[in-house]
Amino acid sequence: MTLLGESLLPRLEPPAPAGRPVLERLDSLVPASGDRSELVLPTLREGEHYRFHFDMTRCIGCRSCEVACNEQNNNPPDVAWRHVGEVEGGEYPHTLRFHLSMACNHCLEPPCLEGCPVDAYTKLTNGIVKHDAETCIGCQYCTWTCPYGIPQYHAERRVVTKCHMCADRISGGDLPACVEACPTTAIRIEPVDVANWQRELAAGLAPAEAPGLPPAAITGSTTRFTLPERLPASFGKTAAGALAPEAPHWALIILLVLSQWSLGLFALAMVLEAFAPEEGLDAGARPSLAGVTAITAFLVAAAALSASTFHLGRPVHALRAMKGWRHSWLSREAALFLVFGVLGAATASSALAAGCVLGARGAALGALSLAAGIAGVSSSAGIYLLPARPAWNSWRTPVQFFLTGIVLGAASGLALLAATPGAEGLRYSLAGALSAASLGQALVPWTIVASGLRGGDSPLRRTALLLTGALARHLWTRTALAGSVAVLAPVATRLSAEAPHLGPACLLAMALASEVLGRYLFFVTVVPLEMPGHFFSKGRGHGP
Amino acid sequence: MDPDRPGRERAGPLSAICSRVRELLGIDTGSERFSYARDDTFGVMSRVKVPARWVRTTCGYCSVGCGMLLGVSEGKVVSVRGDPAHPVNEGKLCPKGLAEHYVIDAPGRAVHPLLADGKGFRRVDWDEALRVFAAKVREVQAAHGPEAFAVLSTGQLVTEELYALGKLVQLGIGSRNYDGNTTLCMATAVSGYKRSFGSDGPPGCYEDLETAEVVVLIGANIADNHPILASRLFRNLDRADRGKVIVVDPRATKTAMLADIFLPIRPRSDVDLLNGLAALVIREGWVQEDWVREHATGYDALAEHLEPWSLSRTAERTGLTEGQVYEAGRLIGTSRSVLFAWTMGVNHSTQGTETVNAINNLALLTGNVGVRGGSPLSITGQCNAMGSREASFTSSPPGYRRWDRDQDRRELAALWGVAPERIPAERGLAYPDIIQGILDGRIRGLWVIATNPVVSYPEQARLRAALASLDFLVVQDGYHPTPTSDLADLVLPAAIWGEKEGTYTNSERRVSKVNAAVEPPGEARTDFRIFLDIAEELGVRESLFPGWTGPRDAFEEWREVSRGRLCDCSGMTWETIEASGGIQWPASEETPGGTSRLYSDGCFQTDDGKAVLFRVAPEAPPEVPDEVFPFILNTGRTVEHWHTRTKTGRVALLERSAPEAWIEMNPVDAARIQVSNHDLVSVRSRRGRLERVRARVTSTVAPGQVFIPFHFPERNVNQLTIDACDPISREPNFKQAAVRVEKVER
Repeated sequence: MTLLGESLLPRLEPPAPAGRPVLERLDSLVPASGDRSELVLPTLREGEHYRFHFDMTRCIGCRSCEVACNEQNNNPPDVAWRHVGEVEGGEYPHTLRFHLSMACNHCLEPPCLEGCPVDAYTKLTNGIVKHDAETCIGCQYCTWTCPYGIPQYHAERRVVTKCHMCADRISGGDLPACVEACPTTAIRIEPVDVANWQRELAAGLAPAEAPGLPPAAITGSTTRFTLPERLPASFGKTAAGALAPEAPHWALIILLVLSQWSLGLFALAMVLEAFAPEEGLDAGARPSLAGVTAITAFLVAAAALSASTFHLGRPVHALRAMKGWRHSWLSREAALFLVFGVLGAATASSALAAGCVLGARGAALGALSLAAGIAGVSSSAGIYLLPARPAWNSWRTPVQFFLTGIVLGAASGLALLAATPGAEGLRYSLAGALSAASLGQALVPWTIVASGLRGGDSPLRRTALLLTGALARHLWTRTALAGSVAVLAPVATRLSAEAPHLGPACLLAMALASEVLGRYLFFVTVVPLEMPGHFFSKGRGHGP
Repeated sequence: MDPDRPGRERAGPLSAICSRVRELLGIDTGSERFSYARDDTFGVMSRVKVPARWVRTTCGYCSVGCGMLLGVSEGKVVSVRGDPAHPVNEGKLCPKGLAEHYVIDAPGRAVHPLLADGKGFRRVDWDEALRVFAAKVREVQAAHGPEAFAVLSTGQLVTEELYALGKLVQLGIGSRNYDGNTTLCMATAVSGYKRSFGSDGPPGCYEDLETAEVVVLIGANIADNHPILASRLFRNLDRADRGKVIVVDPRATKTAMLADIFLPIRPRSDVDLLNGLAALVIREGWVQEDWVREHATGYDALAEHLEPWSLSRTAERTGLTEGQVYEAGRLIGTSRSVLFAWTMGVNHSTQGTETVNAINNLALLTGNVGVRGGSPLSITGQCNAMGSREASFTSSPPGYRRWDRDQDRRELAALWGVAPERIPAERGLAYPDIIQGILDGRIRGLWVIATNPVVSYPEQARLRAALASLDFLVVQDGYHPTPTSDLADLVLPAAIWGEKEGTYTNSERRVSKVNAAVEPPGEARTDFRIFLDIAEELGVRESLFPGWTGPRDAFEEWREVSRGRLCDCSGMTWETIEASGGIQWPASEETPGGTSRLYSDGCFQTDDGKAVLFRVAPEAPPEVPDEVFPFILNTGRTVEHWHTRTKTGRVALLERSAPEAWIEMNPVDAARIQVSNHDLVSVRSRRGRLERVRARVTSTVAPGQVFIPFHFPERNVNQLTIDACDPISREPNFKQAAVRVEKVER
């Protein structure tokens, strides 16, 4: 019988009077049995980082690591830095079910770090990708860029947080909480020779892949896997969580739609400034159509920028967002939209000062605003071109964004020109642009449906399934609205003589509703790459 | 301190608004609350979880009996860690244990005695509660006889409390109708051990998991239900000369994934399998015949009985291949040591006891009783189910004594200074028979202690009808309301784990110390004190518990009562138990370090000292599927939850992974009734109906079978199960109900 107590006795303080042992201090609690080398922190040599090793043959899916992680970091239950997913394959009784306990992969090319607009991330010399909550502004962009869904928004703190491999424990010579807690030592940390690992990753030889995980090469994931010898040919989705829409991010919907509308309005102002006289409109009128449009464009841009701060967990630090302009599309968007706003303000004030007329100076400023706006909307699109989010990562994103500008700019133009005699040619040109752009918008989601449903299971396919399943009604409404706008644009233009304002105003309202709905669908139907989840995972874990 | 936001100071409304604005603007990210600090023992951890002191104790969930340290600051348990020096778990804990401190400060604790007044509950003081209790007991007993008052206890109490309660009920209240919820759990193992070896008591120990050449897990999903035993099993698998693992289960459980040989048997074909394996061992000459003939009776009769179990018959009955049966039998028959471990897959059966006997047969035939790496080991359920078996005076008099043995009763009477006639000569009603007794009107008052039959008992419709017909129901629990306490006439608020002191015995007979880290909330009292208070009210305190003030007095008496018995604890003190991380009984004063295994000398507790081999003929389960109810329903657990979820349902960290019940269903069946993953289904049996259960389409269950976890009152699978019991152990057949599953149209 192993009575380890004898060796323990001296370390224990005598029982308190009530027979209640009070252990003020338990130094060097030695495990009861022999060699536990896995419980010792390895030391690093030159060129080495720490990384996780996960042994899928040992994990019994008990979730002790998850609970230990939350306890270690005082994280609330809705934040899980470590998460145990399930994959299942084979047919009864030859069923194979495995668990994947995953935390941050502490990548060699971490896209969280790359995308972070405020440089809240650092890759420590020991390889740990560490996030600093005080620097973070809660923009949550990293939660999109990571193909593993690792960074998580901590609603109570209003910043993102993530696994740091218990960096403070490691620097104190201790193991991470998950490693210590794992009853079957399925999780360990070990050194990785970075150069070697990079070579192996590039050659596709690294033991860095596991069922249901995105390819390690995307980000240079460092986690090493030991996999069972018998793996089924394919893993089904039987263990997967329910396919659920992502968050809509209303502040971003408003930012995108309004900034693109504002861009359309600046373009419209330029067009009016250039073509209105040719169309026989009173060029000398005060206020001029172009002047009013430019002022409106600025007001819309201002609304867009204000809305964007509501997306931030820490709006007070919104200006920090430009810090990472060298590497982050989000910083670039913030900076360019700020420039756009400033130039727009200059344009608007110039027009206001001239009695709502654009004039040469206003036109020049307007042209600069337009250029800044195009750059801004382009960087908006850049934000969403993410390998981790396949439904966004295509031509559709920039095309949709600019089409929104054309739709709303043209629809605004029609509304503005509705009561104006003449300008027939301009009106029909705008109606034509509106029709074409809106038709494009109506079709874009269907191209996702078409290509998504064609292939096997993939995030894009699941986006298509969301579009035709849980969000089918939204998709059809969007299609109907955008299609109606396309069809009605010429009709309303023709009818505008009878009811000059009503038709175009309704058309603009429809177009706006259509674009807001389109952007809503854009956000809620994106299905990210991520790690396998389990049956009750919320918003994650739809499999590979 | 604000209880919801540890570390945050409570403040006035103005500063609350200020701090909310600071939060909304993002000025305050709560960095203090989420910073780290160094604990002298465990290193860097969340600052708010670094305790002022650590209190050593034993986990209060399952019977594995893991050592723990509770971190206490300012009268609250703020953190919990596995005890690295504890021989059972060496610092590891399952997720329930790692979050166990949350159950103490959880919402819904019972904090005052409550008396039902027809409209609801009225808060009363303890004096009134105890007066009402005593008056009602006397009233019921005066009108309907002493045994019209029945008691249901639990494996959740410390041994000292169980011991005190047994005396109180059997001698003080004077009713034999007293049983524990352990009858829903391991009564079958108890009966099986008694029949085969002459006494209860698991012969093996956890070390056998590490050393066995073959580990056979029968109806035991340790990966979900006893994860720390899985860690012990890995010690075995990590050796160069590692042992083999055989898993017998109708489900492809997490544990089955660890198996070298997975035997996916048809539900309730376990007796056929065990008989077939035993027959093979005999046929092939692998039996330890000399040893068996010397140490067991019934060998020839058994050999004859087993003759028909050819490989082909066994394969046909179990749904396995002959090759699978042969290979498993060969490993069992030819290996040096084989550990047979089982849990509810065996026990929850109308033929459970005989199934245990069939396991014991196989262990005896192969010489695997009490040897290193080889024993039949029942893995128990609750933290102190074993303490209940040893000391509770329910299924047997304390100290594994026998009702029908005069000498045993005289011994007890002498120890207690009472007349021998006062020790009952016959067991009272077992749990299911108490329920039947209530329905028959024979039992009119019931005291339910720390258990929740309104979730855990099979065939809920009958149970509810029974509880509703009682004259007096008193529920003593740490939480209120629970589905059971909701129906009570009187609620007695009790302290729970973390607030009480005493001992638990785990599945390997290891008596471990349980300590109080904090005071019970409100007016809640320890169960021990409640028992003494009731004894006082009934006027029996001095006669039953002379001079007792605390649980230590009970332990000291228990040492004497167990002295010389198989479960001898006389050589233990609270201090030696504490210091050693637990001592395995028997531990006499000559062997204070305890004993790892029983029966190593081949001497059993039967009158002739020989084990008994039983001829077991397989019986059909109480219900088989038909056209109307085509599925076999299996029930069980999940790693996140404990029993009826009274505790774990209050722990958000566990709830997030298992917030509601589900039904596991094979893809073939799911396709047939057009159900996809996450669809809602209704499940019907002849006895009840569950609505809106989430379908989990998975190949871990066989076609024709479904599985629903039993933890969830909201979707209580026990509305479907059948109240049919093992005739010997009286344990219900929770498994193999016939059900119908239909898709719920949205």
